[in-house]
Amino acid sequence: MIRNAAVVGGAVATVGVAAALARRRARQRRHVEHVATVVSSPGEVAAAWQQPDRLPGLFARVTPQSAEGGEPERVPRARGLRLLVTLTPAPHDRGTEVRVMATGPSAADHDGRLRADLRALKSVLECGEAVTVKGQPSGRGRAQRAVQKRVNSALTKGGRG
Amino acid sequence: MKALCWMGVNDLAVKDVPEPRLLNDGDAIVRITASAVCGSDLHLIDGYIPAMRRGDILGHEFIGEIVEVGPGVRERRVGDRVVVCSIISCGHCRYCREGRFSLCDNGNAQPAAFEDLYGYAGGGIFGYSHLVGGYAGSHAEYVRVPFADVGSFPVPGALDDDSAVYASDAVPTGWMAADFCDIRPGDVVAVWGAGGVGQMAALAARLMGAERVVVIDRFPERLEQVHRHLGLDTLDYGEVDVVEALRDITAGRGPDACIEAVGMEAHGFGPQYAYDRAKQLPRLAERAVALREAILACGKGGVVSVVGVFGSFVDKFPMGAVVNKGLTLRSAQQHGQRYIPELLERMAAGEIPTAHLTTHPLPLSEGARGYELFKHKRDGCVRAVLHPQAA
Ligand SMILES: NC(=O)c1ccc[n+]([C@@H]2O[C@H](COP(=O)([O-])OP(=O)(O)OC[C@H]3O[C@@H](n4cnc5c(N)ncnc54)[C@H](O)[C@@H]3O)[C@@H](O)[C@H]2O)c1
Ligand SMILES: [Zn+2]
Ligand SMILES: [Zn+2]
Repeated sequence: MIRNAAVVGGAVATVGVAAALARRRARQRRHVEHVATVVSSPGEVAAAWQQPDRLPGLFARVTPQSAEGGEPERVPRARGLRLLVTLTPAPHDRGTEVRVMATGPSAADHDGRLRADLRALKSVLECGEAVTVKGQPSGRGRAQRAVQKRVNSALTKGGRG
Repeated sequence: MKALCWMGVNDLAVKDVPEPRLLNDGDAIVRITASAVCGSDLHLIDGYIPAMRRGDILGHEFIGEIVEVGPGVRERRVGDRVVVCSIISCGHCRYCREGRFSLCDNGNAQPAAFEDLYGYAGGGIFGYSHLVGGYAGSHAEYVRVPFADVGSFPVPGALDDDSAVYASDAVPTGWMAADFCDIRPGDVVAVWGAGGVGQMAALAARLMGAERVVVIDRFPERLEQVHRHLGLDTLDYGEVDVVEALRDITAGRGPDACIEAVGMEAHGFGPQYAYDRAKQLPRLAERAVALREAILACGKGGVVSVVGVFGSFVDKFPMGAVVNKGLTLRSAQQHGQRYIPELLERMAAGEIPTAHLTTHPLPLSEGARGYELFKHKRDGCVRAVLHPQAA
C-alpha cells in the first residue's frame, strides 16, 4: 500500500514539478507561448475560423493574423489577456505551424488552458474531434473520483488546473 | 457491469462499475467476448509504470461485438464482430498517415505527463495508465472504443475468439518487431522471450524469410510450444551461455537481427541481475538483462528490435557494442492498425497459429487468479483469456 501510494504520488509529482516549473517560467515572462504543427495547409487551417463553434476554448474568441506585423488582440470575457494567433507554413509537407502568444497581466494564468486548447484545436483540425476520457467508468468511489478529476486536469493541461 | 480493476500494486479486484457510454462522435461501444492478459499488464500490476490510479479498469487485447456507434462512425455497424487494436490512434495525423500509429499525435486524451516525461506524447492505449490517455480497459463486459473506424477490425468467421483476440496486440507486435529487422534471405534471427509476443515475433521473422529463428527462454512448456506449434529452434538460457550458443549456431557471424520481447522485468542469473533488481526496487532503473544480452549477441551491422516494454531508464547499457558493431536499434509500441487486416487474413488461413497461447480461458470473475498464474508462469500458463460474458 505504501509502495502504491509512492508510485502514484511519484507520477503525480512528476507532472506537478514540471507544471510548477512551467508556471514559474511563465509568471516571470508575463508572456506565454505555445506552438503546434497541424498537417493541413495554412488555408485549410484558417478556414476553420468560418465555423467558430468547432473551435475549442479561447481559439473561438480570436482570429489568426499574419506572422509579420500581427498584434495581440483583447480577448472577450478574459481580463488582462491578449492573444496573437499566427499560421505559418511548416517545411515541405509538414503542414502549418500554429503559434499562440499570450501577453498581459493574466497571461500566465491561462498557460495550461492554452496548452490544452491548442492541443484540442490540432485534434479538431486533424481528425475532427478532440478525444476525451471524461465520463468513462472506473472502479473509483465518489471521493476518489473527485481527486481523479484534478489529476485528469493536470494530465491534460500540465498544471494543477 | 463487472470490470477487473487495478486497486494498487499487486491488488486486482472485480468491481461493479457504470457501463461505458459514447463520449466522442467516432466512438463505438463493444460488448467484450474475450480479453487477454498481456506481459505489459504485469509491469502495471507490479507498479513499474507510473500513473496507474486506484480503480482503473485493466485490459487492452480484446475482441467483441459492436453494440452502439457514434454519429461519426462510417465503416462499422452495430453487430460487427471486431478485434480492436490495443493502441488508440486518430488515423489522420502525420504519424498515422505514415503508418506509425502508436506515435499518433491525437490518440492520448491527456498528454501532458507523457510530454513532460519524454518530450512528445504518443497515442493512447486501452487500460494502460494515465500516461497513455487514462482509457478504461477491456477486462469488463463493455468498453468504449474511440476512433472506432481506425482501430476496430472485422474478424473472419473462421477464427474463434480465443485465437482471434491476439490480432489485437501480440500478433501485430511480433509482426512489427520482425518488420523492423529488414529480413533478407539467409538471415538468422534470435528472439528473447517465448511469451505470446516473442512467439509471434519469431513466427513473423520466419514468414518474412529468415533462414533460421532461435527463441530464448527458460520455461520448458514455452520452449516446447515454440517447437511444436511454430516449428522453430530454442535455447534455454538457464542451460547455455546464450551469446556463445548463438555464435556457434551462426558459425561466427552472429545473428543478423535480435528481437527483445521480454521488457523491463527480465529475469537472469548472476551479479548483473542482482544489480538490476537492487536498482529497480527504488525505481532507479529497470531490469534489462535480455536487452543487454541481445545487443552483445547481435552480429556486426545487425538490427536490435526492442518490443519489450521499458518505461524509464536502464543501467549498464552497452552503448560501446552498439557503436562499434554498427548496430541499428529500433523500437516502438506496436503500430497495429498498419498490420491487423493482413494478419487476420493470415490467421484465418492458418499461417499464424495462436490458439495454443490461450492456456487458461477463465471467466472475468477469476481475473485476479488469471494474472497470478500468468505472472508466476504457474500451471504452464502462457496467456489467460477472460470471458466477461461467461457466468
Ligand atoms: N511494444 C508493444 O507494443 C508491446 C505489445 C505487447 C507486449 N509488449 C511487451 O512484450 C513483452 C513480452 O510480453 P508477453 O506478453 O510475451 O510477456 P510474457 O511475460 O508472457 O513473456 C515474457 C517471457 O520472457 C522470458 N524472459 C524473462 N527474462 C528473460 C531473459 N533474460 N532471456 C530470455 N527470456 C526471458 C520469460 O520467461 C517469459 O517467458 C513485455 O515487456 C510486454 O510489455 C510490447
Ligand atoms: Zn499488450
Ligand atoms: Zn494519429
